[in-house]
Amino acid sequence: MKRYDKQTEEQIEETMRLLDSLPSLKASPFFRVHVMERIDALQRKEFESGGIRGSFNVRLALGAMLVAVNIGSAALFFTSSGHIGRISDASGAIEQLHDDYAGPELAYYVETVDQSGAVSGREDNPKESGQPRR
Amino acid sequence: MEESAQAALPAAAKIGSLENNPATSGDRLFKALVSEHQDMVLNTCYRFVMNREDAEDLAQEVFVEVFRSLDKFREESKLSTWIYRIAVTKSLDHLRRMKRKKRFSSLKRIIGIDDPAEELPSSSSDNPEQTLAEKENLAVLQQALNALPENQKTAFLLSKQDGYSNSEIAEILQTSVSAVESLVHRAKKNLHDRLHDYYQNR
Repeated sequence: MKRYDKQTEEQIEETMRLLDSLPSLKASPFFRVHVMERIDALQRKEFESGGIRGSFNVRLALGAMLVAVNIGSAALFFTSSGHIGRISDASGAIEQLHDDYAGPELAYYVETVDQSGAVSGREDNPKESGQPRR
Repeated sequence: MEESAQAALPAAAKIGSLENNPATSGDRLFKALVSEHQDMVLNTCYRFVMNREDAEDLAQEVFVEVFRSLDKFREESKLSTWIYRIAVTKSLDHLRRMKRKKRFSSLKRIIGIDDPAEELPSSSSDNPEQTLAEKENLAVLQQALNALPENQKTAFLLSKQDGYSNSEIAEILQTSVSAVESLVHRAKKNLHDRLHDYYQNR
């Protein structure tokens, strides 16, 4: 058992030593050239895609979308409140109309009370016919 | 290309040997920056991915990223620390990608499609038997390393590389030196346990 453990420990040590024995690499003489090529390619790509997309920016797009949503909801709000205003205007006009035409001057149906207290109606308006009311 | 590097010139110009030549253009400054740090970045990536081609590709990506973000560099840390932090981040990203790819390729293996992308680093040895054993051990080690939490793995791998002091590792990981020591210790213990389990159950 002890021998078995020793063997295992040796194997572990041997494996761990592999890390220490990893060679120290030297960059190839063209390393810098390759880096510069990559940078050039990247810049070309960015320039080309920039031409197509203009100065498209995700943040900018999101901001624009937010502004549009805000404007839209504001417009919606004012449109609907205008409608409510129109409704209230209409009810006011009806009331005004009622006041204007409900007066006795324009009433074509005049209620009269005789001596016995009975109510009777006449369809002529004394003001309209130009005759004084009796 | 020069504009971005020129923008970072005031920050970068103060660092290291680059400070001595204030008249250099942004392009030349960046080239000097690459020359100064390329080996360190390459070896850092190599520790993580254990494959020369991948490490070189990653190191190039690191410098492209450095070039793009040079104007965002604030002098809260040394420029070299900032560059090595990018190297570590890129390497960890690569390992994550490989993990996903491996999951996908094991699925492909189940349905009968082999993935040639799964290659282990080649050994320098001429002895085929030794090469095979080394490859196997390296695969086991890589598996055990990949099973570690990322901060433990990073601290351990950087501590294994020449040129990184514990304080520099602490700066890269944005933690304290004692935390780095603890991370390295835990990583070693975890690795030992995992390898022990593997060799015991083999």
